[in-house]
Amino acid sequence: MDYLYLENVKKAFGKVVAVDGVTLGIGKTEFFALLGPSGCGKTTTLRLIAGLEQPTAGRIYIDGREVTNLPPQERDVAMVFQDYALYPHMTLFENIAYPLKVRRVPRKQIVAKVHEVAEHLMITDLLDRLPSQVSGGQQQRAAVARALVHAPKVFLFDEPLSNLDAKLRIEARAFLKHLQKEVNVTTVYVTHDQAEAMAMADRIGVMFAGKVVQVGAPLELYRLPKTKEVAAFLGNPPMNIFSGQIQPSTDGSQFVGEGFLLPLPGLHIPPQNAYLGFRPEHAKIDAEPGACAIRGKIYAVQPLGSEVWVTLQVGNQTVTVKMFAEELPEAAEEVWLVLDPQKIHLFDSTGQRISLGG
Amino acid sequence: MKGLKKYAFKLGLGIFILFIVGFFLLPLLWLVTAPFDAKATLRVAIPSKFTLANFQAVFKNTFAVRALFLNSIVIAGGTMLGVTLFATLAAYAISRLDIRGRDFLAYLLVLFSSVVQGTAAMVPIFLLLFHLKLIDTYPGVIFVLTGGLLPTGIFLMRDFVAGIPRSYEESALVSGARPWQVLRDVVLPVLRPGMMVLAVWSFVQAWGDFLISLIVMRSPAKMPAPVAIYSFYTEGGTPVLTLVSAYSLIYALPVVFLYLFVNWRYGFRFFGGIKGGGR
Repeated sequence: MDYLYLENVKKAFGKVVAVDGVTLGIGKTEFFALLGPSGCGKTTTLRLIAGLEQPTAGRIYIDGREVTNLPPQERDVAMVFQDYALYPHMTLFENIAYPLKVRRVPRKQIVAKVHEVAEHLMITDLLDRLPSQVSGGQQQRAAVARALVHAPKVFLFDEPLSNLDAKLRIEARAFLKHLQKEVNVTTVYVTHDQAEAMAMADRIGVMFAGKVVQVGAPLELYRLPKTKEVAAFLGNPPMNIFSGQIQPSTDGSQFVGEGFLLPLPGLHIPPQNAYLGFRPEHAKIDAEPGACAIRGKIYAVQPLGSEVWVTLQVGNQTVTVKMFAEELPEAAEEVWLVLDPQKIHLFDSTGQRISLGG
Repeated sequence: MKGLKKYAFKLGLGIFILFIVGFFLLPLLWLVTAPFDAKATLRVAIPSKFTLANFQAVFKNTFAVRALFLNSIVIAGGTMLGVTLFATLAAYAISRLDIRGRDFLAYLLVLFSSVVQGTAAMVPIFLLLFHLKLIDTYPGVIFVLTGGLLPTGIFLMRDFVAGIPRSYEESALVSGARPWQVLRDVVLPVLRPGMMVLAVWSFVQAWGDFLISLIVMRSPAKMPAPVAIYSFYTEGGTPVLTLVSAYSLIYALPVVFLYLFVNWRYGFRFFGGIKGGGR
């Protein structure tokens, strides 16, 4: 039985359906990320778990107990908000102590517990400061400490890193992942940043328009996205996607896009309108055409240090290729974009994955 | 030629500003000089014969002293508590609940508030209080003043509440706090600066009220200071300037101290109610 279970949960605000029949099972001690673009219903799902919203339909279970109609204070969860929501009139100590204080824990125990958690998060020196007197990263740690202090059944994170600058965010990512494994508390983490979800989560649920489209381990989602949307959402730079038709050819199939024709030797796919996608790292730029290649023109070259992003003009759209070459191609040069037929992704006209068989 | 014109303009502007400043400053100057002058007139003058006798005379008038230190304090204090408490709770509810057309409602309320304390409503208010048996009582005056100030108070407080993120309350709820604990531990402390502004404002409004008290109160012993000041007029109706000014100065001090105290203790953070409705 899943530790946290959502059964066909719906939430509508008037006529707007924010969460449209979500069923999710999250295992004990699992780090689960809910990933999706803004407005996809991921934060609403989190708030439903917290009890800050009441579902229009469906049930929610935590640790085998139905909590669907329980108020937030009876669910024994903890939440870290996007703006941290540290009470501005209380010191960090009082902030962290608050969940214990409302549970009428004796003062002595509160002091001991707060210091223990603060030490863990390396904010012991800051306990008598007000939230306005510490940095953003420290505020974030204090917010995590407050969530940690009463040993909740489930941790809920609502984009907790989005207010940090890029460098701190990478640091906090590793820190939170490490911490979660250490305290071993079931965690639901909401984010719109695919890198964050990929880097931290044991499993990811990708949400679009109120529905969970695919659930799986990060690399599973990356390698075998079920839909074109999931494929395009994961990865940086995102997957390149062409629209066109699949047609039979002499030695398999071919993909006809706008202004180009790509042979797909060895693949036998029924003819149809389709989308073809490939990841930037699964293509090469070459002077010679291979078995599966398209003619293109270099549009821009972005050397990033460890890797180079090359943008090509193919037909009337651009695609990006990630390379590790020492020698940079010249802009405006005519080259071949060489693909590996085993590593391309095909989606039918509704965006569902077409199995390449094998 | 051009420089001269510019100079003349600046001079003119300076004189105009001086005139405006003088217009507002002179009465204040009079208020701090006349009480110490044994022979005060309506002129602002450095007291020719410095004296505290005026104050002694004022404090001998037990009716006026009682009016200032009991009646006015009770009425203004009661109104302050009522307005601050109810406006805060109402503004909180209006801001946090989704009520259809709440902006329209808020503007309507402000519009009505000017009616409640306006002279046009005096007869109905008198009749209402008469039937409620609240004529000649402190609660009677306090109710009318509170009712009159509440809409504007709610309006001021509403934007203040709207500026406070809901995540504070939600975080407290998820942390395990009951709704009353959320109110006591999080909402009220966070709203305190706004409540202070509201308290000072409503105190000052009630402190200066003349008309409502005059109509609702019947016995002289319950009249507040703005009415009691007429006990320093002669039977012929002329003010005794020495005593009127001394009494006025004492009358003005509590408000000044209240302002200074709140400003020192909390600092005024005025979020304003004119930011434009809705969120």
